[in-house]
Amino acid sequence: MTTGDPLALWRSNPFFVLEIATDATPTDVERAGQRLLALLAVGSANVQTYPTPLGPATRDAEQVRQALAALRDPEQRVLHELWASVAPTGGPATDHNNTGVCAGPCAGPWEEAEHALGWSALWAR
Amino acid sequence: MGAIAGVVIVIVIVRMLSGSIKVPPIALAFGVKLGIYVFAITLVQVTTTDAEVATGVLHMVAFVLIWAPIPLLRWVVVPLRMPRTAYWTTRISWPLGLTKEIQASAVVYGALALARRSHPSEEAISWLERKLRNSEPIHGAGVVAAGLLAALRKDIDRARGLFATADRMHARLIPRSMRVIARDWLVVDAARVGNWQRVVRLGRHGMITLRWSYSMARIGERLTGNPKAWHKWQLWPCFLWAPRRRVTYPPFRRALRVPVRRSVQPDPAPSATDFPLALGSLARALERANAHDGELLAQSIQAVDRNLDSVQEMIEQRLDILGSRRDAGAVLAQFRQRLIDLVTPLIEDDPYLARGAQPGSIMEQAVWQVRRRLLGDIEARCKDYRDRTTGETSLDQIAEWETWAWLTNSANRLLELDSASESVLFQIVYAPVCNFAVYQHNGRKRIALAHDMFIWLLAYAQGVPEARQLLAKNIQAGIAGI
Repeated sequence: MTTGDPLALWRSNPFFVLEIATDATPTDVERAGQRLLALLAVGSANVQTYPTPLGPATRDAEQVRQALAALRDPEQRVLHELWASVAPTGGPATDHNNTGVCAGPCAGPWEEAEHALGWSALWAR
Repeated sequence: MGAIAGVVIVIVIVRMLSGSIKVPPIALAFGVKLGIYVFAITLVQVTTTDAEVATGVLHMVAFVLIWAPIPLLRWVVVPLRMPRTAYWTTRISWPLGLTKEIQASAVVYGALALARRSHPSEEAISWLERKLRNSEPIHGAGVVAAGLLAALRKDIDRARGLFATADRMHARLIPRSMRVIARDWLVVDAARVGNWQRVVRLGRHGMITLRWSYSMARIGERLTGNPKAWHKWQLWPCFLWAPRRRVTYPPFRRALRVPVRRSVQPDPAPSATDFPLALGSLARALERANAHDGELLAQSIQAVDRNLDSVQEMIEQRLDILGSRRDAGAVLAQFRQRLIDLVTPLIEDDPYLARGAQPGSIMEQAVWQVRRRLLGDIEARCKDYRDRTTGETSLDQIAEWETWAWLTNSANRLLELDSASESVLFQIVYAPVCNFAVYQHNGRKRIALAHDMFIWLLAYAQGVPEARQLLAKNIQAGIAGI
């Protein structure tokens, strides 16, 4: 019963991890994977994060290897192509009905909620 | 005359000590406090000097210490961030409303003082835990104390379960001031992740209305666009009447910015007509800000499901190009399963999200997965109760309250998910829980725990008259012992 990030798994889609298009050839896939593994091995900070249509995420060598393995299986690859075809969510998820009602950010989390009880230690962080 | 009165008082005290006259703890505390107060005032007057101010101050100190220890604890002792001082002040000042569980109540104030520190020390938490384990008896205040200690250890699930148990307890088992602590914690826990629907349910649908949680629920109604939300002129007095106005002002201001919609048009389904857009809408619905909007989530999942047929041809082509012999159906089945896996943890976390599930939809399949898991959990806990009743084994009081909190938590989530499960749930829990409660009542003299179990069971024994009769009788038997 813990509220995690529901999009974390989606962000780790192999196409996002390898930063390649869904129509990339197997050679392009391997090349992208090996390049990332080499950069991660030398500790390059630039490749530790990657952009996705669902917001930025972080990766490590293990994730890159898993992504390569997943894309070598045709059936898995097509499945990941479907998930990777998501249109960018773009901007805050507000006013989904165009009604002028700020149901998104207004109804969002209350960051300072713990302080209402006088708690100094933020209990879930 | 004075000698006769003295003899009568001595006889009464002797009989009280021998147990032949049973005095309620609150009456005893009142009597002792009155005696100390009269003695203290007499002492002040006897030793008074010319300084009237000093005498007045001494009168005031005696009055506050003896008659108003709760405000003293909340406003002075707890903010000092000294858990041991808070613990002993509570024990010594013996607040009238907390006389039944003075040790556990002292742990509550100690834990509240500790929570004010930026880094609560492990040693202080352990000290309070030891005090709680030595407390006798454990009722609502003990459950709240255990919840606070779990929260201090960042065991949030455990804390949530214990506070939820304390919040739904009968007024006989928990003082109002302790219920306030439990409910306010739950409200903050929901509001900090933006689950305003839960804030509304906590503040407005409980048996007992409490000022701050009620005010937060009204704020939550405005934030979620509830058609029953109050107008500005109604919301302002509610906000001003509730405590913690300064810290509550930011969400209150946010709520005022949301216009009230009396006639609610049903939210149109996401208008994504192609697959990538439908996926984008789903991603937005899953994002934290909207993750508690069940209607939007259900509609987004349906939109993705509807659009899946349009990509079947594309999947077949891709499989062909990649040299696979599998058909598109297998990929689509895997895709739907992943969709279910994506939404299942969200429903587990907040069953209320599932209210928008349509029969036969992917959302409903996720609901059934969660339902099956919850029923499995309840059955396992009932088996444990059955075994322990047969073996006449019991955990310590706090652990026993914790296991009870886990069971009721699973059961309440199951009912929130599927209210039609009530009779199935009752059939599973009735015999093992009732027998275990009888064992706790008769064998272990844990009257409050057994009483809470009987009350909880009675609430779901609608269609079983014999069970209702038996549970009502057991509840009556427990009242005298609480």
